[in-house]
Amino acid sequence: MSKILLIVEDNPSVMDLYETSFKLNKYEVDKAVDGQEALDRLKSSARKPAVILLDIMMSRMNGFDFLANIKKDKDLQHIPVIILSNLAQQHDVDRGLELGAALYLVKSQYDPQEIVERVNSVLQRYGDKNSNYIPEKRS
Amino acid sequence: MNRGANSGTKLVSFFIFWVALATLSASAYSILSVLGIVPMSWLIFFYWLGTLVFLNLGLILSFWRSRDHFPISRQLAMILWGGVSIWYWSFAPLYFFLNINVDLLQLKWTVLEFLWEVPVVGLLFVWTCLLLFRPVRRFVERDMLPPDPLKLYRLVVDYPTAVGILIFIFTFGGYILGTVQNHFLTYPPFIEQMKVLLNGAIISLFLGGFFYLLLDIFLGDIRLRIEKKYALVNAARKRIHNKIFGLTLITALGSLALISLLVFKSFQITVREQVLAGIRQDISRISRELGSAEGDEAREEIIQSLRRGSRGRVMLFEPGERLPAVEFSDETRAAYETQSFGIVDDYRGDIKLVTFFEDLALRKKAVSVVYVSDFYGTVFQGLRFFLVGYALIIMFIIFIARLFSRLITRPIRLLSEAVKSAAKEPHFYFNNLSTGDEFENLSHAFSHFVHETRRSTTALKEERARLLSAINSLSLGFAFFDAKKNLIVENRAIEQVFGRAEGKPRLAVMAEKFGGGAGLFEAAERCLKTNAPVELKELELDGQFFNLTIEPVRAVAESAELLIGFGLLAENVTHAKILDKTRDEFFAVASHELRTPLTVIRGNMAMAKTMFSPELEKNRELKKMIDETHTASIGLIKMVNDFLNMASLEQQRMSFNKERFDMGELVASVVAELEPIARMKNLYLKFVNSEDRIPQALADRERAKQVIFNLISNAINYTDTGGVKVFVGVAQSSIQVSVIDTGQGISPEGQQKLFQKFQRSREEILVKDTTKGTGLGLYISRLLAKGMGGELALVRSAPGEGSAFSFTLPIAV
Repeated sequence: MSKILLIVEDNPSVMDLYETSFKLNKYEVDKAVDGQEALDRLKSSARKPAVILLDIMMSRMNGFDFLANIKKDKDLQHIPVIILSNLAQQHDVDRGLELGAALYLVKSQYDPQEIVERVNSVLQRYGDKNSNYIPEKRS
Repeated sequence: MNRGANSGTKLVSFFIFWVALATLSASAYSILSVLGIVPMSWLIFFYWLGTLVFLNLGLILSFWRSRDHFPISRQLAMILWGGVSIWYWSFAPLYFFLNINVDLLQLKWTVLEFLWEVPVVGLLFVWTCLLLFRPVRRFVERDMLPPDPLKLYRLVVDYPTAVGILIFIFTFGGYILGTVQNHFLTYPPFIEQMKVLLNGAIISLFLGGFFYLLLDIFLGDIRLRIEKKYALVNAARKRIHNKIFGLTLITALGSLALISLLVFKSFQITVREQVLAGIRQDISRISRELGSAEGDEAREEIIQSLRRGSRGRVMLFEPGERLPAVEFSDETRAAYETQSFGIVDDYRGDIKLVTFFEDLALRKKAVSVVYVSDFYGTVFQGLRFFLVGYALIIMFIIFIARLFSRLITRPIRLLSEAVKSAAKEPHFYFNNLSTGDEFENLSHAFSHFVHETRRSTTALKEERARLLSAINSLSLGFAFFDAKKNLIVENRAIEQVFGRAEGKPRLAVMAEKFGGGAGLFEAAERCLKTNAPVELKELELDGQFFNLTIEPVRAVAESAELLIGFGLLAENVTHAKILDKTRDEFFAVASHELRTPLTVIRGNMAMAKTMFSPELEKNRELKKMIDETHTASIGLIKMVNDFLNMASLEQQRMSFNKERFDMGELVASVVAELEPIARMKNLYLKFVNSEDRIPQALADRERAKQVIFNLISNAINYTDTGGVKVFVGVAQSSIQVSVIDTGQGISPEGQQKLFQKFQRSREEILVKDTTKGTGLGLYISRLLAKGMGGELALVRSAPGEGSAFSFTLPIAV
């Protein structure tokens, strides 16, 4: 059974890029164009994703607000969230990690395949839910 | 010394005892004599007076010899008592005898005055004065610290004046009391009573002045002590003029009154002598007439012709009849009864000459009473012409003297008037003095002086106006304060920002505007103390931002520098700050917006490379195109990252980790990473770990790597032959990484711009070469090095001889 990945991203070109590359790597990809849509989707659907890829700058609900929201929800807070954004300033990174993101990646620094590998490694560590995962400080 | 002191104080005690005993005895005796129980005569009076004078003089002299052994209160009491006794028992009787015809006064009055009244009034006076002195005594004797030294000082200074006034009141009061008592006991004439009162007033004034001077001298020592102890020099100096004036006035008035009294007395004597001469002529005339007179009526008529003056009377008394006590004094009545002829003075009621003789033919005693005061007018008529003439002469002398003095002092007055007017009049020339002597020279010198002063004042004013307009034209706020933080001058820019100070200290207004302080006072204090400028950055005021610089201001005086205050410069940096912020925001947003399409390009190229790898192997052209697009997109992303890095470094928003790491290891990893690139250019890249044990560095490992990477890749980029050597060592308690190349080197002009933004100093700016980066590398590297507490510097370089860079980081302790 393939793992479900939720991509929250407002730019369709970027969305296409990651959708293609994750599908190539046997992921089932769910999509949402902003935080609000993603939150609604997660709450209404019984199928929970194994991992969420989250952009920050989006209309309606931005990535930070979305992250804060799902970390408050008992059903959703265990899902690892990887922030994938082009905001690369230190205070943005710190804020994302403080809110409980598993990883903060700057999109432009990586080829799509490298991102898939990072997501894989996070999922491996999260496979055992009891293990204390310490997020990497720097992307 | 001690024995002397003891015997001295014993002598004083001995005299005090006897003075007290004698005064009490004399007082008791005088009261008994008034009651008629004990006899009173001049002999007895002088016996008592002499005893008192002798004992009091002994007391004063013995005290004065050993006065330093007494506390201040005793000294003071002795001075006060000494004053009273000297005046009353030594000088006052002399004065009294000189001024008043004692023969004609009742002795009992004198006894009361001198033996009883004086001790009572004197003791009251001494007691009051001692009470007045008590607050001063408490502090001076016990050497206590006064709550208000100035107040104590004023008490000491004012005390002699107060005592002077008191003695006047007491003494004059005594005289008034004596006069009233006299009026009922001895009925002296009105004019004599007035003379006594005037005499009393004069004595009181003199006595007041005497006490004032005596106490002023006595307290001078205490005053000096207080002045020294509390540094109160000149505190009450100005009042001395008033005192001298008052003392002079009192002396002048007293002398005038005394002279008037003496003049009046001599006038009285003159009148009496004239009247007496007239009476003597009349007596000899009527004795001749009586010799040839016939009949009682004729005799009586002749006797009646003795009558003189408007109030004069001639009375005939039967033998054995006594003179009425209402009109005649006891002495006159006694003389009338014991003698057949006599001319006597009588003061009862008024001054009069009483002539009596026995007319044997009539068997009656004739008494003629002539009032001396009836003739004051007649005698004065004769004197009037003389007085008017005398007054005219005096007036003429005064007039002449004044005229001469005015003539002599005229040049001086003119000069002094000119000095006064020179200060007011704008155009002054002193030319109305042509005496042809030193005065004229002086006037010319003065004119010259005034002109010179005017000229230099005008020049100074102009200079000041120029300076003021210069500082007013500054857009920077400028204010100058003295060393006590008082504003001396400020320019308009300061007023525009902070408003007018309006009475409040300028610095306080400024501190208030900056939200209650902002360390402004502290900064000014620090500047004055350390004699070094203090900067306050970006203080906010109503949404505006100011940089304040407080600079010490020194003046050279007598070859020594003197701190005279500080200057405050206020620069409005709001505009620059907004510009800075906008630029940084622009960089951040632009970087983000640029990254997104670049991510898509990069990602898609990478995907194409992996997904269509077999197809691309067939089409080498397409593969090359895709590869190059991929590489270029990565280069572009790096550029964008540099921009963002720079922005956050400049805003000091970047945070650095502090971790321990091995610098040798880090450099080795970078060298290994870049080795292939060097090899491609046929260059060597050597890492020399010059010392065996290099301590660990304490910094952000990633950022350090970024700097080292930048330095080595720069060196490779700008070197065409030879290669690059990297050293790691310890220099001046920090770890030093040296990167030395054999490349093209940097010209001196290039070196100056090396660490500036967008500079690629090793080439012409206009030559574009994207492979060599954005020109931000060294700029960012240096910011990173400084952010970690290290340094990045060019050690040496010359065109064609290569370059050496040094990067240092702190050692982990």
